[in-house]
Amino acid sequence: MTLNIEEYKANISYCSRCGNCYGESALEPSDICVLKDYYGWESFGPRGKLKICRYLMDGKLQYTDELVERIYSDLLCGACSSFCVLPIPHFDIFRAMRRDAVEAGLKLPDGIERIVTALEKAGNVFGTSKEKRAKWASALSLPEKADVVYFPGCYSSYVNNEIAISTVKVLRAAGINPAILGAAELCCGNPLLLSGHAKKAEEFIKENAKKLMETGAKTVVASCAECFRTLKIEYPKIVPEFKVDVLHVSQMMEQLVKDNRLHYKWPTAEGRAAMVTYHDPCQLGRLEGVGVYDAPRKVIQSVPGVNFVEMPRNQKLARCCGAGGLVKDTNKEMAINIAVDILQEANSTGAMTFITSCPRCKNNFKDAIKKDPLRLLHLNIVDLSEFVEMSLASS
Amino acid sequence: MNKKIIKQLAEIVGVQHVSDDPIELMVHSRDASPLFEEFPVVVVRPGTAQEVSEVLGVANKNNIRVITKTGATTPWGASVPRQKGLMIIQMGRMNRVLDIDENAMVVTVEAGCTWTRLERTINPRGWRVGVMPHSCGMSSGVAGNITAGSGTSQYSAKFGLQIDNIMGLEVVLPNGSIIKTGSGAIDGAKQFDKNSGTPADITGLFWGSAGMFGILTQVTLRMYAMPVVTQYQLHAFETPSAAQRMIYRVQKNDIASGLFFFSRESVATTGWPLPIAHLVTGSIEGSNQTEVDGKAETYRTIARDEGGQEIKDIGAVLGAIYTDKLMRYTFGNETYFPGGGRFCLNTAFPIMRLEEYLSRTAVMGKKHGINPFGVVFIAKNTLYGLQYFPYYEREPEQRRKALAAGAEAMEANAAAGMGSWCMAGILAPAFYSRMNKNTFAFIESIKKAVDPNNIMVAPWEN
Repeated sequence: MTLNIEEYKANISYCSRCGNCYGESALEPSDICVLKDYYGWESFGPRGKLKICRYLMDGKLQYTDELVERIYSDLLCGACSSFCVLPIPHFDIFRAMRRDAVEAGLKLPDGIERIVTALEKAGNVFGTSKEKRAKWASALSLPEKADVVYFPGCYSSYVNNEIAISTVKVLRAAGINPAILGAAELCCGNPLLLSGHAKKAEEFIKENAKKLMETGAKTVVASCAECFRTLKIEYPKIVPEFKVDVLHVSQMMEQLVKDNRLHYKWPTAEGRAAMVTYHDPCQLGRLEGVGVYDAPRKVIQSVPGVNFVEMPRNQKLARCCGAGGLVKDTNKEMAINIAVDILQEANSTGAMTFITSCPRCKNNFKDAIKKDPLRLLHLNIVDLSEFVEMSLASS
Repeated sequence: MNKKIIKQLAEIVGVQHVSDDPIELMVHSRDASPLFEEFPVVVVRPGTAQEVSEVLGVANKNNIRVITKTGATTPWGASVPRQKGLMIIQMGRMNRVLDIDENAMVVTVEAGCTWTRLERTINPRGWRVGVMPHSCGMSSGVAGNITAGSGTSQYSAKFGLQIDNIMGLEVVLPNGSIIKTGSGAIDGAKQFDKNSGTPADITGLFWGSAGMFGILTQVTLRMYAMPVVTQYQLHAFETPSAAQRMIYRVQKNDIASGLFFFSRESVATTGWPLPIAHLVTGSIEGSNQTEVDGKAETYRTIARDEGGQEIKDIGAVLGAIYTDKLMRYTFGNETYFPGGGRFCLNTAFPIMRLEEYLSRTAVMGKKHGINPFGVVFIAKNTLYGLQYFPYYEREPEQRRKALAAGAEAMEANAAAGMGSWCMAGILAPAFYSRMNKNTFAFIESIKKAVDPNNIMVAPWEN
């Protein structure tokens, strides 16, 4: 069997095991690889996994069930590549390891199997019926075709309806009435790509791309960082004719602010603290090809009365929320512990409002508060769309 | 490994901190060099000095030989197994900054604390350690750097080597007893000074010892105030002899806090974004602008006298060296050579012998058909040359040539009266074989005294 990691053979051979990938840097506030501290064992960290890849490619090691925990413990957050000085695409390599694991027929973690089964059954990560996908929009009367199509994704469609509703309200406040695919929308395919089920992911991507192109939309807007990255980076790889402009809602809002199309109320919403900080989702910022750091910050700072403060580790040095790489589904405890750490860091800034722009991150942070309510309950965790919507004059 | 022994170790450190999983053993078989690839039989991660002591008790009882490992970032195979059947004691769990004593100007850390963590903890308080992490790998552990005998940096001109900055150690001897060196050797006293507490410099015994005399569990280092003003200088020289004269005068007048030298050949080989010439970079520090301007003027005058061409537009160049990734992998983790192996030969010599050292390097490179490259750090009155012999890991013939050239260069340097340091790893046996017989016997006798069962692997073994 030809291994998927072979595609990166040259890159893997570059690794000289210097350990930079752990994010140790005297020059920046770093130490962002959580695997080193959490597992402690070299074989779970990026340096160790690249060594494992070498052994796999050299035939000195086979894909066996002993490797599964190591392969699926990774947050796939791309932090390692931020510090590696060599051209090593860790995210792609570790995702290729997952494809190999699937193709080798290994026993995958239960959480992964659960997601894949749900996606096969119902087209969403929760396994909830397809008909309920657009229930959140029932009172909004959204069109089926428009220049702008909003792609809420599984989380905002089923669990975090508040994000989808806020996003639509913000767009409408600026005079944009977006279309949605409604019940016909499928999961963006990212969970399948992350799980190693590349072929199944392709089916989802082709189907969604076809439907999105059929709407005649010029722009697709996503409020989920994972959906955004998948639509922007992965869709054109699999469907070359998919040439629709893909924006994260923060980018669209940035443009709306610039065009003076969002009008805020003053003073700001009662009870909302003016001290605000922001968490960068990996799939919106650090991973190759996206790099959306400025837009959400500019949007936040456009709201009157906001005192924006950065967390010590931000932008490319931001820690993954803990839920990346499907780790929330394979190691919930680790995912939440990481989120607790980040919220404690947020506490140190004095911020009372904690904004992110990915529902998966938001949910994980909400769960983290439950773990340490005494110290974290005062933090108001909201999505960027919610934050802006709350501040609109027309809201 | 015998399951009974694994169980004993697990009872000491906790089952989650012992592994004989073949995959884990495999990834512990290398450091940042591809020189060795021998698997250990077990990896243990103790959390306290007491646990280290008890783990060594198991090793003594069962005749298991031991090496220690922190960040595993040496490019000369210092922290990996070089023989079968070894236990690795991995110090990564002991990674805390324990005490910052601003009154005594010292900081105490656990063995596995990385230089990054240390700097990041003390810098915001206005302190730094003299020998900066750039010289030893950001991911390397403090104790590993000390037992490897590493520790030159771009600030060594002022602060010397790491050994000059260690104020005391806590060490678990091979027989399991826990000792302190320096002022901490007096019961109840704090670590603040290495010259008191014991009649001899016991701290120095562990420097560069490759762990053969014991396992470091705590290190106390001197702290220095962060400079208020820093100015960088870069000069190009036609010949190494002109550069060495300039370096000598700058050091004699105690002007720079940091100085290092790149040969023309090194600049050309590595593709660093620097002018192709023999280059000397310097950093000048002080507590105010007037002081720094005065020192900088003297520095420039000396450089000019010796024929140095000042490169004024140095923002981008020195920015790349000091702050960009170039610094990290050239002087930090020494992994510049992408996709390649390399091993590093470390040679120490007086300043005025720089030209001779470089010419010997060139001869060896030509003879063996390779291009050694490197950097020379200036630490007070001595030059410390880090000479890399590059090769591609998958090309055995290149590897053979690099090793042959390195070994011959070491022999030639030693024959010419030059010293070596960081002597663990690939060239250590050759290094010890050249040592004065009586001196070697003395070192061996200390080893026998502290380690009667010979459980700690000595650097001269391969």
